[in-house]
Amino acid sequence: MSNNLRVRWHAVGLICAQGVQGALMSPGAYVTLSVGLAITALVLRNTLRTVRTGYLSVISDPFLTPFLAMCLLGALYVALSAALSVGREREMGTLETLFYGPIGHLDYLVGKFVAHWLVFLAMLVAFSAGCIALSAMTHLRISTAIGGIVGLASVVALAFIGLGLVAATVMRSMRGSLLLFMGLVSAIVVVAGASYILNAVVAGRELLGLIPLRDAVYLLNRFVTWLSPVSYLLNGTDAAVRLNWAEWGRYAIGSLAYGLVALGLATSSLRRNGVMR
Amino acid sequence: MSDSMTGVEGANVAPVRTHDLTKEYDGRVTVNRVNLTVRPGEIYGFLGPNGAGKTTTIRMLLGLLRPTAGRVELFGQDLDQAGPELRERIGVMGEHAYLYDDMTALEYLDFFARFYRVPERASRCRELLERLDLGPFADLRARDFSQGMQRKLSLARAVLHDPALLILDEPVSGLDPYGIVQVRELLDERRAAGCAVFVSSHILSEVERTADRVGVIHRGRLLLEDSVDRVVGKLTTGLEVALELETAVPGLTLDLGQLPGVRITRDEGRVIVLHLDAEPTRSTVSQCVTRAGGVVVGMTVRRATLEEAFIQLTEGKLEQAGLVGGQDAKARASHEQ
Repeated sequence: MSNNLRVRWHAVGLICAQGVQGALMSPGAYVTLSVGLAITALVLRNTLRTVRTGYLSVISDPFLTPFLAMCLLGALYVALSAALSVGREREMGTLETLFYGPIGHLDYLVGKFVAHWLVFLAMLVAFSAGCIALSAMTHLRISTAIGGIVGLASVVALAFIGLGLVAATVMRSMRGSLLLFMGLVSAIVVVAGASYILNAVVAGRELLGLIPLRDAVYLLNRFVTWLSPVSYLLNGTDAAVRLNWAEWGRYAIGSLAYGLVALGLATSSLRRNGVMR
Repeated sequence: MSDSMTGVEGANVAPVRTHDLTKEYDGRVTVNRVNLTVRPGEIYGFLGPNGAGKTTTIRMLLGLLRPTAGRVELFGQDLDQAGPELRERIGVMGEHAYLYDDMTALEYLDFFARFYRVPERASRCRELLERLDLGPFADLRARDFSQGMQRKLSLARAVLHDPALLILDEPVSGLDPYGIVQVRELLDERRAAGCAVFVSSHILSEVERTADRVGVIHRGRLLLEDSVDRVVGKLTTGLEVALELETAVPGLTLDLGQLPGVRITRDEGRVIVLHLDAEPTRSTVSQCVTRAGGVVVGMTVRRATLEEAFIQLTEGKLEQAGLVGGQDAKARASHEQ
């Protein structure tokens, strides 16, 4: 390994360690984990109550919704955390101080990228341990599909973090990064929601006048689906539940490619906008 | 520390060389074809009024800003092609301290010691903190530091890895006299170790004391680059002599004022301050005083300073540009001290 490469690896490792330490020292990760476990407890309580009252309940896996919710929450948290940590460093001017030293734009962002991914994995491991304990207590089983969701979420998180880093490098302030990231996520959710509602309304009430609008939103949603890490997670989960591993693999590879492309865009944006306060 | 880190192996290569370095913002040229060279083992003072283009030049030297035209060479390597290894040989103290305010002084230095792969980092960090009188505050968070202490911590970070090139922007700004002496000693030590130091400063008296050579930038142009003595010699003529007489001699200033090459700058009766165009006229002055019946009890000769040379240089340029008058330029230059 050349000395330049060794220096770069060292810098990536240091930024990564600093990022992991920063995320673990802040309450955000623990709050997200607690919310995920609270959702799980609530879902399981309702399932058990239904069973106790004698109603027939057909659920393929009671842990499916909690896992999906936790993966989504966790991925959103790490993406936001990545965006804010870069924005904060720029606002404080410490980003400039770092770039006085032996680090490149890509090295810095790779460090942040990996750090937040590791934090996501740690959250997922802790959450899974909690679910296994709950499964043992309640005798509600965890299905094979959950393994697929966890595996997919680990890759989709990279797409989320990449998107967060793009928001952080495009905007020059922490507030701007936050607003851009939230705006992107909200736009994705709004388009998907509008498409779903229009589809239901038009089909149910035969409102023919709304058909052009429905079609336009449908097309927009098809486009947004490609840009939305949320849809990668939902569609991949659907494939995992159907045990269609080939389709699951496509979503996993797509998410990985998404994350890497976002990392490339963030690097180019950081290079163009500079590291100065 | 290895030779490759201290840069000893490239003893004859200029640590900094710029080639027609130019930066434009929205069509306005802030740095205009600057060609400067920092030699190995020298302290180079980079001077200029506010807005002259000093910080922009420094940021281009560090690769934080991309030049519109021209290029930067550090240790003979084009900055655009240089890898991170080259940056390990540079120590930088920016205009602002920019510290991680949730870290203690020791944690901050330790982080950067790991970043720069400093061997025996714990002892090196402690040593530097003690050296800059920050030892008792090693466990205090950076946000609780005074401005002067933050500047010192920033300087400690810059020299932590024994760089071969130090780039300092206003290093003594906000420091008390003890701090200024500490910085001066540290820079002298670095120079003795073969390190090149590039200092941008407004405190000209400090630059005059420490720098081997200076470059003066004004309105984006490097007006001059030479040793301190030669810059002062080029831009100022003659000496300032303060005569202390036993008693005031009526009419003496008139006689003195008629001597060739002599100009009275102040008359306080027993003390007369003269400007002499050339050294030999001192004896003529002495004879003139004696002829008028005066007795000289003291004579203080003062050389022109870098500050005066700087004012002359920038004032001259401002006048040439026809933008402000001489008084305005003087007021501006004195304000910036």
